Amino acid sequence: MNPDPVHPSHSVSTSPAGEADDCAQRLSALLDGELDSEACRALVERLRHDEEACRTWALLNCVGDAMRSADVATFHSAGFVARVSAALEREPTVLAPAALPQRSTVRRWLLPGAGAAVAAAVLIAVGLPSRQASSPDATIAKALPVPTATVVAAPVPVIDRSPQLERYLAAHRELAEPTLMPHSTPYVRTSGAVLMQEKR
Amino acid sequence: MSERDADWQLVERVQRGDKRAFDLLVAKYQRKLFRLLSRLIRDPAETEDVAQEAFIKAYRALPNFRGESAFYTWLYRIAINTAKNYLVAQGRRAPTQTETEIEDAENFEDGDSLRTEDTPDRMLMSKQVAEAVNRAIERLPEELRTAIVLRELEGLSYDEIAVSMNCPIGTVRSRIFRAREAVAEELRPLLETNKDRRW
Repeated sequence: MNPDPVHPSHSVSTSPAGEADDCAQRLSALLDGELDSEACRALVERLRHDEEACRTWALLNCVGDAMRSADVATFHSAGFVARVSAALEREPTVLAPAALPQRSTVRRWLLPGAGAAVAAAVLIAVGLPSRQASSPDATIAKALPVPTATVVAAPVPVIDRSPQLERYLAAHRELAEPTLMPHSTPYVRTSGAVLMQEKR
Repeated sequence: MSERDADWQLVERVQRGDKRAFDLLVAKYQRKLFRLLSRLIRDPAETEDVAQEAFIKAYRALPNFRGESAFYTWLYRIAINTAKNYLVAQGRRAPTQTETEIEDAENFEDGDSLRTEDTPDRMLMSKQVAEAVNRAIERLPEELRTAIVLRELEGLSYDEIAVSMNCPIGTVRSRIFRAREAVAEELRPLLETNKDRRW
């Protein structure tokens, strides 16, 4: 492929005239959709304060219209863009709802797994002491490294119960099988007992 | 990249809060919109008011534009509805024949199927514009003429033109710009895009 024999030096220039020329050439490329988004952003930014660039954009668009249809070009109204722009200044800036960032597949799979792991750790931390107390494997379990979890103990509510009810619960506790949630059992029973008392 | 992609690039900038990018779209489509609306609303001053209202409505609606259609098709539809509402509010209505033609014209980029009812002034100006374009194109070196014709009239991308003309894309870009610059110089006196006006 041959370099342009007509204008070989128009691509890069550092002089003010050359810079304006380069800007106009980029506007021409933008018009054709041949500019990448970063260059597009820079060019639109430049148009904020470069009136010559604005005129060039308008004129380049006129050229295309005039070439395709002379009739369309006759409908050019000088100053119309400025009037619309002024009217838009009074409008709130529009913003399209941004697309939600895509979560990575790994994270989507990890989250339920992590939740299950936390739940399992809590169950082990809560249920293990009572099981260890009654299980024949307690010595083995003690030998195994137990995952440590920092659990902030909630303050145990003080329940004002009658001595008679305390003796009744103690008797039941001795007879009852250890469960996975042994610490919750007294409260369940107390609630049940209170309900029964209220029914009576 | 197609013209639709080029518009989408600007639309996305507007959707991110860049009002200036919308000015570029207004500058690009104002003439096509004026011509379309002038078929419904004869008075040029009213046409311009309705066009301005249509552009503002389009700006407000732009967050909901997802690019299912080309930007100009979407814009034309808004403009036609704005014009119809304007005529109803004025106690007027669009001529039935023109209405049908305008609906059909939505499928054409320039709405060339529309019936023309130009004034003698506009016909004269149209003739002058055509002559200016022809004059400028005839004076262009062959390379520039081919490049601009392939781009503006045939709608080829820079890649396609580069292949067709057996030259680098940078050269295509330069040639198209030089050709536009030459045609623009011929058109400038006719289009009032003088140095006193920003746009």
